[in-house]
Formats: sequence, structure tokens, C-alpha cells
Amino acid sequence: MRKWIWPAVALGLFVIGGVLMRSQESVETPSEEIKVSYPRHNTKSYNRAKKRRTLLQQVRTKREGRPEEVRNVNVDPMLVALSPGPTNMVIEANAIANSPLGELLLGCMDARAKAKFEEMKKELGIDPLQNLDRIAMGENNQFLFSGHFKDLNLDLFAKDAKLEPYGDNAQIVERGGEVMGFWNDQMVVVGESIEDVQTSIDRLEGRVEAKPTLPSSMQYGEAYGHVNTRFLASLLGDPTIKERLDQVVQQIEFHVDTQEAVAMVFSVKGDDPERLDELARSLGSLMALSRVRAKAEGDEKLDQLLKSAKVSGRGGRSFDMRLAVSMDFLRKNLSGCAPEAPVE
Amino acid sequence: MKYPAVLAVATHVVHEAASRKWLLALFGGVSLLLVVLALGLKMDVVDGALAGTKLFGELSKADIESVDVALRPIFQAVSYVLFYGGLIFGVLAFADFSPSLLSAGRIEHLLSLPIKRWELLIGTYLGVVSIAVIATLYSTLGFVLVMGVKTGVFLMSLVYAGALACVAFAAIYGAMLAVAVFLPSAAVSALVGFLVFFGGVAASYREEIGAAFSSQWMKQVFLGLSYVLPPFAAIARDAASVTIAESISAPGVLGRIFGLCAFGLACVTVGLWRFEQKDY
Repeated sequence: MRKWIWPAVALGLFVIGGVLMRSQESVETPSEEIKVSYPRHNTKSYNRAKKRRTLLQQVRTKREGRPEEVRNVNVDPMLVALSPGPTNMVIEANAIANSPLGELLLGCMDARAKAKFEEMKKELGIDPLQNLDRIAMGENNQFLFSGHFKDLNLDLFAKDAKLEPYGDNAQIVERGGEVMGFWNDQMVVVGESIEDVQTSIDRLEGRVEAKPTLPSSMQYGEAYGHVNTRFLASLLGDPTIKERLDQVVQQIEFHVDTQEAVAMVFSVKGDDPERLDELARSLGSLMALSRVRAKAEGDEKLDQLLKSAKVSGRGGRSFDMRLAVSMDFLRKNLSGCAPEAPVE
Repeated sequence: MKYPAVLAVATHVVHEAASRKWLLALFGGVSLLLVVLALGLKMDVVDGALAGTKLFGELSKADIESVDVALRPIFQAVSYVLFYGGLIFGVLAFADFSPSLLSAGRIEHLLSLPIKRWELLIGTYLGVVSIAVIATLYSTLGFVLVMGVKTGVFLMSLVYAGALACVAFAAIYGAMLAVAVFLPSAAVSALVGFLVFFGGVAASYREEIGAAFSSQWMKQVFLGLSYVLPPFAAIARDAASVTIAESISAPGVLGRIFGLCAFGLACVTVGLWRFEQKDY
């Protein structure tokens, strides 16, 4: 009998081992690879940009010894109305609202905010989540809103002021130092002065010759445009780098993708490849040091942002700075962010 | 104080291993690799960011990112190589240890010494596992040191991954030792070692593989056998996750570690039971 004790113990150990090794299998979820797709120009963005070229413009070209040529081209009205300058930004509001990020952000609205939003919808006559397509920001505090504004309640904006017709298809109202222009049921132009708004509408209606401020090849991602060096320096949390950026950088183009993660690419362009490479190295080490500091200070959000930060594509007249926050991290930080508040 | 017989046997096994070509080749190979890395690898690190790497040739202008983030895929790959490579090498290198110890002529001499049978077997087991631990520590610490000096980042977590590989090897060697008691042959010992290793890798995907069986009873036999085998692929993933400080399920990893220990102990128990009864 005693000689069978050891095989019995061994059998027991095999079973215990099996149970221990398998017990957590069903509750374990395989760790998902963090998906980061950085914004890039592709067929989808090309088609989206093509569909938006709804404004017919006459382009005149004059070559030496030849009569002036007039061609009809289709352009994107918003990009024509956008005031030219070194800083501009287009936000694909509808695409963001319908992206996982938009769902998360909308989930943050508490009952009071939802009630106010419903009230705003009634007053405006449109649903911003459905009817608003894009928001753009240009020079001199110019704001553009594009979408389907046929049902927009214009009386709301003309309460203490008068809507004046302008041009072929626009109305302008001036209220308390702010001027708003409504064009063709598809665009709202907000500016600091009446001249600024009129100029934008003139650009749209062909009274002023104007090319699209941003080329269609730049229209990818859920936000894109150009930022200044001050913006980049403040994003990096180091105002002292601004001086170096000013010396080397000519232009900073940016693109943001919100489909799988919030991924940003800043393309920094300059004329001097050597100094640009030095700047790239400085920015790379600045991001690494900021991350070390964030970790030491327990700033998990900054640590996550800088974890995937990298500087790539060096060696020429431009380099890319990439930053990303995983959707999983945002979900953890934003889900359930709206405390239930009683509706008044 | 009396020196325990188990430790005396283990020390003897370690000494004997030092003269083996296989193990000398292992230490030589690892040392050579570390020297090549130390002399040939140049890493351009600026304030904690990796700006370029060079292994002999030109310095590449790679992406600039935090050193620890840039090193993650390298350490993860090293962790997998260490785990799978270490287990395969261990099975091959130690296959003839216990068969030669238990071979006719030698075993009679050993049994005539004032050592109990269980002390002889457990001592052999501990000796072999100690060699695996020394080799793992040497290679992981060496790699961490070389990369640490080059980059300023010492990712000690690779040593934990090495510890997981050692526990996995201890489980496999338990089975190899047990079978050597029944049949003292280096080939059979290696065969059993590989069967447990590859069976364990397959056991990590037992549900997926089980679903492919058309015969119900074959499926049940497979699921039953694979239930007790250590899921080596899952343990290798644990080791890689530990190396790059990725979030892991602590109960799951601990369950697998204790399960490995139980499997190894069960195999050694079978070996002990047979060894105590065997008439030499």
C-alpha cells in the first residue's frame, strides 16, 4: 500500500499544477497591441477632398505671347474662404463626433449639459452633431463653420442687430464687436471686422481672385493646418525652445488622426538641413527628458503622451514629430467622466 | 556544521559540467556575443533619447525616441530568444547528465557512498538547475550591463524574464530526470524533454487545436493530456511582458509559475519513487 503513496502524490501534483496553470486562462484577456495609425494622405482622404470641391472658380493664366486663358476649376469653398496666413487649422468636426474619440467626449456630457445641448439645438434650428461638417480657424481670429445650415435660425443672430444682405448670396450681421456672415446656407464666417468677413465672402463669390489657402494634398486626418512655433513650444512644455524654433523653422504643418488613437504628426520644415537635424535631436531629447520628469512627478497623462513620442524622417529639409495617446488610455480616463447631475 | 549531502552532489554536478564541451561552448558563445556588442555597438544617446545606432557600419539616423521605448522591442526579442533558445539548448546540453550518473558501473559506486538515494537524485536535479540559473544570470546580466553602459538605461526586468525561463527549464528537466531513472539513455531523455517542450507549446493553444479534432474521444484525450502540460508559449509571453514592463495578469502569471513548480515536483516525485525501488 505504502509504495503507491508516491505515485498518488505525483498524480495529485500533476492535477494541482494543471489547475494552477489553467485557472486564470478564461478570465485573462490577451493584452491588445496599442494601435496607432498616424495620419497620412490616402485614397479615402483624396476622395473626401474631391467631393468637397463644389465651388466653380475661373482661373486666369497669362503666358507671354499668348492670349489670356480662362479655365473653370472646382475648389473647396471653405479653403477659399479661409484667410491666408502662417497659422490656420481645419477641424473635421463631424468626423470627430462620429469617431471613437467623439463618442467618448459626448459620453462625458452630464444630464445638465445634455439638456442645454437640446435647448441649443431647438434655438439654432439645426443639430450641430448632424449638420456641422467642419470648423476652420484662420488669421485675425477668423472662424469658419461649414455644413448644412438651411434650417439655421438666423433670427437668433439678428435679435439686437440687423441682417444686411451682401453680395450674391450672403447676409452679414454685426453684434457687439463680432461680425458674422452667412453664405449660401452652407457656411458661417465669423470675424473681427466687417471688412474681414466681406473679404471672405468676396473670395467665395469670385469678386476677389483667391486660391484655396490649403492645398488639397494637405486635407487628411481629422484636423490639419499650420501652427506657429509658440504653439509647438507650449505643447512641449518648454517656452525656451521657441527661440531655436524661430531661428530654424519656416513652417510647421500638422495632422491629427482620431480613428484608432489620437495620433499627431507635426512636420517641421526649414531651409538648413544641418541646423534642422540639430533641432530634431534637441526636440527628441526634450521629449525624453519631459517624459522622465512626468514619470518622476507621477503625471501619467503626460507620460502616456510622450511614451510614443518620436522624431522621424530626419536628414533633409523637414522632419516629423509624432505624438500619440492610445484610445484605451483615453477610455480609461474619460469613461464615466460625467457625474450625474439633476436636471434643473 | 555538516555539509548537506544534497548540496555536495549538486556541487559535484556543477564541477563536472564545467568540463563539458556543450556548456563551455555556451559560456564562450555568450561571452563572445557580449564582447561583440560591447565593442561594435554604438548608440547615440542624447539626454535619454536614442538618436542613432551603429553595429560596425555607418551610424544610422533613425527615429529619435526615449531610450527605454526604443530598447523595448530589442529586449522583448532577447527575452523570447532567451526563453525558447535556452530551453532547447538546455534539453540538448543536459540530456546525458542523469543517464551517465545512473549508468551501470557508476551508479553502484555512488550507491556505495554514505548518501541516501533521494539525496543523490535531488542533488543531481539541483545541480543541473543551478547551472541553468548561472548561465541565465551570466547572459542576462551581461546583456543588461552592456546595453546599460551604452544607453544609461539598465532594464533589469530581463533578469526576471530569465528567472521565468529557469523555472520552465526546471519543470522540463524534472521530466527528463524521471525518465532517466526508468531508462538511462541520453536520447530518450532528450526526446522526453522535447516532447514536454513542444507539447507545452501546443498546450498553450489547446482550445484552438482541440477544436480541430473530428473524433470526440481523441479531442478529450488531447485536452486531458495537454491540461497538465505547462503552457510554454503563454509563459514565454509572460516573460516578454515582464521584460518590457507591460501590464500582466498577476494571478495568471503566478498560477503558471506555481503550476510549473508543481509539474516539476510531480516529475521528480515519480523519479524518486522509481529510484527508491529500483534494484541496482
